[in-house]
Amino acid sequence: MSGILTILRKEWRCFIGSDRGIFIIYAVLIVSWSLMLAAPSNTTVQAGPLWLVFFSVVISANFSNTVFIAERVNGILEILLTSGLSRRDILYGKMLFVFGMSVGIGLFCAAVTPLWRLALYKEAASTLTGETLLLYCAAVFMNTACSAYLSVRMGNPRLLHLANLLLLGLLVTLHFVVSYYFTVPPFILPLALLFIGALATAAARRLYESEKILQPVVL
Amino acid sequence: MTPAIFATNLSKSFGKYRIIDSLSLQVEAGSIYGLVGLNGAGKTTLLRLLLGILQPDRGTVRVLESTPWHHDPHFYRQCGVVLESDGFWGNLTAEENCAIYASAQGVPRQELAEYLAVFWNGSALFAGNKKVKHLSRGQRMQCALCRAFIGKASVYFLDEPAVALDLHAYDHFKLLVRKARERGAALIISSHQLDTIDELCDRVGILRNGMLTEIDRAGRTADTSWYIDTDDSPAVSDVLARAGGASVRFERGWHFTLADAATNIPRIIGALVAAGCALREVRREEGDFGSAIRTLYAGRQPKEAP
Repeated sequence: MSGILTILRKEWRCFIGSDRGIFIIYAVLIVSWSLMLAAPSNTTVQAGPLWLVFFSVVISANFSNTVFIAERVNGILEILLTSGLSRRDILYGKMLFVFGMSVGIGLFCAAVTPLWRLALYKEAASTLTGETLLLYCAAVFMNTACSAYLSVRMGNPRLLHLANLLLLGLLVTLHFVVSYYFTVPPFILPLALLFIGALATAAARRLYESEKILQPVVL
Repeated sequence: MTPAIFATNLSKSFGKYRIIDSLSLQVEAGSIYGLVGLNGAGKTTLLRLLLGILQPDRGTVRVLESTPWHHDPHFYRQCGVVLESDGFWGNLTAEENCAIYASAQGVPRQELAEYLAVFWNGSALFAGNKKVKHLSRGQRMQCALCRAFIGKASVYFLDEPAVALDLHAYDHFKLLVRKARERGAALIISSHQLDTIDELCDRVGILRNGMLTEIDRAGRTADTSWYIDTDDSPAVSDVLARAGGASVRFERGWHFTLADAATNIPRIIGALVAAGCALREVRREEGDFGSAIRTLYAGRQPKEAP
């Protein structure tokens, strides 16, 4: 557990020490995303599953780039592996940071949304429900786990976000198709995302114990 | 006594390329092992095998009685490493990088502060909260050394640790290495800088074609090359021959090789002075270690001692 905390502290310090441009990007993302979420449901933008999972990929991709990919590319991971932390703690610490930051930003957007609705549309009620937030969290978890796995598995890890997006798109489309013909409980899609995330976590865990973690990276 | 680092019959291939081939190595506690070899000889691969970052195809590795490939965190807490890439978080200062590493190693903050105060007091690395990404290459290497020697490791793996160091930093590096050896740590230094290897290491191995050829350091010391700047006279030649000098030649001074120099050089000097020769310079010729290594690189055996 202390190893996970060490990694979390490390990732947080690295994030805080990032260049100012990163924070501007996040601010723009938060403003634009919360504005879109605030739009009334009869406009073109809705807080539907596709839009939610798309946002989850965008947000977690930013953190995955530095946490999973950059450390492999510039050799930090090798130092980390020999630092006295267990590989399990390194993996889970990194995943927890990406998950926590992505969910945190998503929740912040959700918290800001009612203010926009009130200011722009004079409506107090938010279209966001517990279900949509659960779906968002499940999508972030799957993205995080798949990023951890694919960042080691793929020769060119920059493509992992595309792979994440394709996988999520496929799952949501499948969900829409099945929902069209059958009555599907609302928790099925988040459950499917969590299940795939768990599988990817187990696979990433195996990769972190193997020497594949040091395979050459092509960018 | 069980050696600190013990590898036997070690092999490692990448695809069709065999990088390490049936290699055996033993490094005792309190000693420094130098690893040399041409680019691509497998030095970094060997260090990674010994550190458990790579898994051997065949053979056994035991370091501090642990199997590194089992990735036991307690094992790594007894290791100090400088690897091929320095591996710093560029957005953080040198001190923050060291603090994170110390935390991972389980080194208390107080101990880290004492270490930094004793060994790195006044270092420019920690001045002005400079982020590591703004440090020069040499400073980053110093920072890597600072990180490697945090805590009192029992075994050190140093891959090209003296690259880009200035004179002060190089002296500091030697101090850290010698202190570690005095403490009883085992060190492996891989380097292309033969002076570093020659100066610091108790034993030296040359990695070639995946195999390790160890230089007999005792033999090499027994066969050192010497230079004496004195008269070009037959008397000098006689003195050198009587003292056991071999390969004697005169070329702007006398060049020769000598066994047991510690005893024979004072005898030669005494005899030359007694013979009335004007002695202007006596020194061991530099480069004998380098030439021995080059001979081995070229695939030949070094000359036998006379």
